[in-house]
Amino acid sequence: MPDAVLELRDVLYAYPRSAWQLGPLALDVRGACMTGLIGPNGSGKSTLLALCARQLHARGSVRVFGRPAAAYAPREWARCVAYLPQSVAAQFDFTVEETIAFGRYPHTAVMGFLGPRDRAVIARCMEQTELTALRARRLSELSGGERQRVHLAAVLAQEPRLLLLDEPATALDIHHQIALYHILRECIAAGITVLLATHDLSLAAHFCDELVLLAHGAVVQQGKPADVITEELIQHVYGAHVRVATLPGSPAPVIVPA
Amino acid sequence: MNGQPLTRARWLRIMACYTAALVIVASIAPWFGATPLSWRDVWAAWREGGGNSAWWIFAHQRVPRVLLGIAVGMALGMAGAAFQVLLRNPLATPYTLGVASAGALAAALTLVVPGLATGLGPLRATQLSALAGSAVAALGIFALARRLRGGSTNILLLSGVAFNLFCGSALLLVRFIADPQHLVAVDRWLMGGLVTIGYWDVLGMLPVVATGALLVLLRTHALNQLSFGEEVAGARGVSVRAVVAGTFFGGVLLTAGAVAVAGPIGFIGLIMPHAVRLLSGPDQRIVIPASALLGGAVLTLCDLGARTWVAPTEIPVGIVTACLGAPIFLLLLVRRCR
Repeated sequence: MPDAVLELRDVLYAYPRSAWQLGPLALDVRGACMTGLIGPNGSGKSTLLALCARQLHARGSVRVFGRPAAAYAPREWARCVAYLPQSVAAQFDFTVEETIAFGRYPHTAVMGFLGPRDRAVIARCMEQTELTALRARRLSELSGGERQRVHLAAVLAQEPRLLLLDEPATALDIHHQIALYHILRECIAAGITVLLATHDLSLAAHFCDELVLLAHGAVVQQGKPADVITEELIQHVYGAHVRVATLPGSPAPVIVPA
Repeated sequence: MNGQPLTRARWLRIMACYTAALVIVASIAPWFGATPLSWRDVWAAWREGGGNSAWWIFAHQRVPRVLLGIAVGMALGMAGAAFQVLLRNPLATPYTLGVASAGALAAALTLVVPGLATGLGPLRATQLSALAGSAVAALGIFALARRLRGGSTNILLLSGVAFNLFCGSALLLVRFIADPQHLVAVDRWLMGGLVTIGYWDVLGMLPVVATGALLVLLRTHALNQLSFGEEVAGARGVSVRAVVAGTFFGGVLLTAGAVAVAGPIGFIGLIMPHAVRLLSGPDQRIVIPASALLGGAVLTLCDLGARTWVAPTEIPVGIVTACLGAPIFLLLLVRRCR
C-alpha cells in the first residue's frame, strides 16, 4: 500500500465572521491513487481543497510528500502540487495554446520563454485533452466546457505530482467527463496522485480508488467507494432517498432515485 | 499576434519595432518648433564647440524637452499597463488610485502657500512636494488595503478610487481659498506640460522612474499569471503578495515621477496599453514594455504638435493628449464592440 502523500492532522479552518468551520479533521490521501471528495453543498469540499493547495492557511498540520506544506518555496511547491479552482476568470483573451503554456510558469525563468521540453509537454497536454485542433482559438471563442478543458490542460502542463481539482467535470458533457476521468487515470498510472471534489457520485464511485464523504465541515466516512456510497449514508448526509445498485461487470456502486 | 506562446525571438522582434518607432519620432522631433532649425547650423556649431543660437536652442531646449517627453510618456504608458492588469480593470489609468491627485494636491499647496516647501538638489519645490504627496498617498492606500484584506487588488482599487475623489475635492478647496494670483500657476500645473530648459528635470525624475520601471518589468510574466486570478497565480508559484506590492509601488513610482515634472498628463496611460493589446496581443511581457515605448513616442509627437500648431506660443501638452486621446479611445471601443 503506497504511503500517504498528503497528511492532514488536527486541521481547523474558520472563515472570518462566520460560525461555519472545517474540522478539526485528519485525512490521509494515498499516493498514486484517485481520491474523490464528496458531500453536499457547503460541506467543505472546496475549503478542504483550497487549504491543501495552500490557498487558505488553516490551523493544524498539512504535510505534502512528508514535508510541511508551508516549508515549500512557491515555485518548488507549484512543481509538486497543482490546483484548479472551481472557476477561472481570464482577464485577457489569450489563445488556447498560450493559456496552456502559462502552466509552465514554475519550470521556466523570469521571462517564461519555453524550451524544447516545455513545448513537448504542452503538445502532449493538448493531445491528451483533445485540444490540439483548437490550439489557435481564443478563450472567448470557446464553450464553457472547452474552456474548462483548457484550464485542466494548463494544470497538467505544470507536471505536478499531486493534482487538486475542484469540480473539474462540472461544465463537461458526458463524453468529456469520461474522457477527463480517463486522463486522470493515465496520470495515476504515471504515479501522480489526484484529489478531486465532485457532485457526480456514480462517476466518482466508478473511477476513484477512495472516496471521502464530508458533511458540515467534518469527514463522515472514508474508504472504498462501495463502503462510502451506501443507501444509509447518502440518506443521512444528503437527505436524499436513493437506491444503490451495482451493474454486472463492475463493483462500483450506482445511484438511482428511490 | 499569432497566438502561439511567446518566444524570445518574437519578443525581440516586437520590441525592436516599438523601439524603432520611438527612435524615429525622437530623432525628428527636435528639429521642429517655434524657431526653425537647420541641421547644418547645428552641425556647424557643434563642430566649432557650440556658440550660435541654433545650437543653444537645440541642445538646451529641444533635446531636453524631447527626452523629458520620452521619459514621461514611457513612465505613464508603463504605469497604465501595470495598473490595468494589477487592478483587473481595462479603464484603470496611472491616476485611478489617487496617487497622482495627492501629488497634485501637494504641488498646488506649494504653489498657493509660498514658502511651504523648498527645492532640494535638482528637484524644485513643486516637484518635491508632488513626490512627497504621492508617496504618502501610496503608503496610506496600500496599508489600508493590506489591513482590510491582505492586499487584495479589489480593496486596493476601491480604497484608491475613494481616495482619488477625496483628493479631487481637497484640490477644489485649496483653489477656493487660494489667493487668485496663484490660481493661474495652479491651473497651468494641472494642465500638464513638458516645458523644460536644460537637463535637470529629466535627471531629477530618472532615478524615481527607473526604479519603478525595474520593479514592474521584473514581474511582467508573473502579471500574466495574475490575469487568471490570484488563486491560479498562487497555485502556479507566483508570490502573489510580493507581485502585487512590487507592481503597485512600481506603478506608483512611475506615476509620481512623471506627474512631479510634467503635471497630470492624461490619456497616455489609458490608451497605450489598449493600443498595444490590439496591435500585439495581451501578453504582458509585450504589453508592459511596449506601452512604455509607444507612450514615449506618442507623447513626444503630441508635444511636437503642442509646440508647433499655435507657434510662437504653445498649448499645454495635456490638452493635446486629451483632445486626441478621447476620440481615439472611443474609436478603439467601437471597433472592439463591433
